[in-house]
Amino acid sequence: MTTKILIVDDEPPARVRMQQLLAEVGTQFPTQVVGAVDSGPAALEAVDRDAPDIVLLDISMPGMNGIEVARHLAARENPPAVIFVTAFDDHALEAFEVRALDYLLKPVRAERLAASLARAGRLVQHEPRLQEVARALGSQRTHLTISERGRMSLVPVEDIVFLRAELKYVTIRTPQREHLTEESLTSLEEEFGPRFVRIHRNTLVARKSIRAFERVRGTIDGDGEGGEGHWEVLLKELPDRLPISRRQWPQVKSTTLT
Amino acid sequence: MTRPPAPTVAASRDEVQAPTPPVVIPDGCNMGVVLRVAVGVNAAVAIALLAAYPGWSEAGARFIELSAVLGPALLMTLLAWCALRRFAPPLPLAAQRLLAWAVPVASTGFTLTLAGPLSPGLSRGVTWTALLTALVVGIAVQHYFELRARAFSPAVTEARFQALQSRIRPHFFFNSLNAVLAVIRSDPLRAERMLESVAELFRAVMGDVRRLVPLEQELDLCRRYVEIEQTRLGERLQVDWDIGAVHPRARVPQLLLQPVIENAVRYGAERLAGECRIVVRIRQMGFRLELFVSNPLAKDPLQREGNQIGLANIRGRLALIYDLEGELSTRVRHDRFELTMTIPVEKRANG
Repeated sequence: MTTKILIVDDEPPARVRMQQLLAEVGTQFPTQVVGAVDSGPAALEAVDRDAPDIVLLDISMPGMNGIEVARHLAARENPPAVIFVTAFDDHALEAFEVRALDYLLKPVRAERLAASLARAGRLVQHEPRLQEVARALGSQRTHLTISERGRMSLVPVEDIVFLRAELKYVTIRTPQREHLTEESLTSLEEEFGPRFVRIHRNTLVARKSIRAFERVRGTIDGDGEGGEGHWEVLLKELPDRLPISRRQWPQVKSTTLT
Repeated sequence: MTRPPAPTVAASRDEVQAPTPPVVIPDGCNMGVVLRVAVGVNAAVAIALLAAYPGWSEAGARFIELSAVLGPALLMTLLAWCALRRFAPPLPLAAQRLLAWAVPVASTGFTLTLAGPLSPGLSRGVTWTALLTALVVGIAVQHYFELRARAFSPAVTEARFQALQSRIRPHFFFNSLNAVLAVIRSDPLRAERMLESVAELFRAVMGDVRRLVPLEQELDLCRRYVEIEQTRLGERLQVDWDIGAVHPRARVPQLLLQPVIENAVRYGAERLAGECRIVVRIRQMGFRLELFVSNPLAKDPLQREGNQIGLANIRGRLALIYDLEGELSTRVRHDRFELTMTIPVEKRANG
């Protein structure tokens, strides 16, 4: 059985070059290229459609970078093996042993590619490891992976209006609809830091979506606070009014009104 | 297969040293200067007194008496020089010298007016002598440090320029080589041309960034650079060249424009999915040359960060080469990053 390969690189010559190299090592390691795509979202689509065994993944791509693609892949049930391909500037990668995170340096040598492919069975990248790498590279995801009724979909982080922790899940609210995720509000806040502001112990609001603050009489349900009223966030995209807890108000005020 | 048109290689490659206006006011905050001035002036006064008065004890008494004026005057002079050097606007050399000479005279005068009534040995006649002495000493000290600076400063300037020297980004370098490898079999002519262009870029980067080269030569380098990037990035990268009528012998510092375009590619095309249109516009306005480059920015403000980073280097070089005559301004308008550089039109073929 030949190994099915997906090539992901935003630069056309790099995709051509990788195909040439695969053809070159084909005699000792027969492969079949099932696709060569130029972006992260296209890669995720191709993985779902063509079920490749190995993804050769460029790291620096506009929009969704390779590390993020791998993280979304890691959330899938039977993720393909991932081999990262990078030019140079990802110094942080040096910190990770090749055993833990396999990567090829461009220009790629044929022998090196063959060696990586031979090891590919053991190359499934795991989410915690990738999260570590992403942190080391200072890269944030541009999308969140959402699993709904057995289907994986992507929600662009820049579309998110607010995030609210419910009992077991976090609700992701975009102008169009709601999604649920199992990720914790705290880890989301850590990753996307300055993009969101915490207005309540269970709510993060996108700074860009804040239209105004309004003072309201009465208390916030369940917050057990006094009766002299509280502030609420009015949003640009949605009619929802989000209560700001008394504890967060000074910080919300100082970081959003400046 | 058609070979792309050969680039216009600039006919002349003779380069010119750009002017760097020196500061000739001694640096009163520099420890070396402070030490030399303090020791030198005190020693000179001591020798003069020894020559003027017969006995050691008399000369010693006069020296202590004079020190009451000399100490504060010296200190004030050094502080004033330090301040002038740091905060005065750039002045012609002659004006700087006059200013530097006036400082010790003024300091001495000031100290004498304050200390005069306190020490009986200082009469009005002595004051005039003192002022004249201060002027002579001031001229001598300033002249000494100016000569010294002339002897040593090229090394310092050299080091500063070295720090500002352009570098090839490894990411760009390795990706270009990879792109060459990709086309080497299918399109050997194109591979050849790409390697030639990479070589040209290397030559420029390893050269002296103070060199003034014909504008056409710098533009040729920019076009070659863009061509390499277009091979890498494909259709995504589009560049509009809008080059107005410019004096045919106009010269610019080597690698002035290329890093700006590289910055635009880096923060435009490499960050944005979809087409990235970069505009390069050059206009001559009287005796000034205006170079304008703009690139689209990600809509997301968090992804816009970084566009300024590569510019610190260019700013530094402009300041070293043109001082205040070179300007660089940037702004964000309609989701585009716009950069405008204005420099004097240099036409000299030789320095």
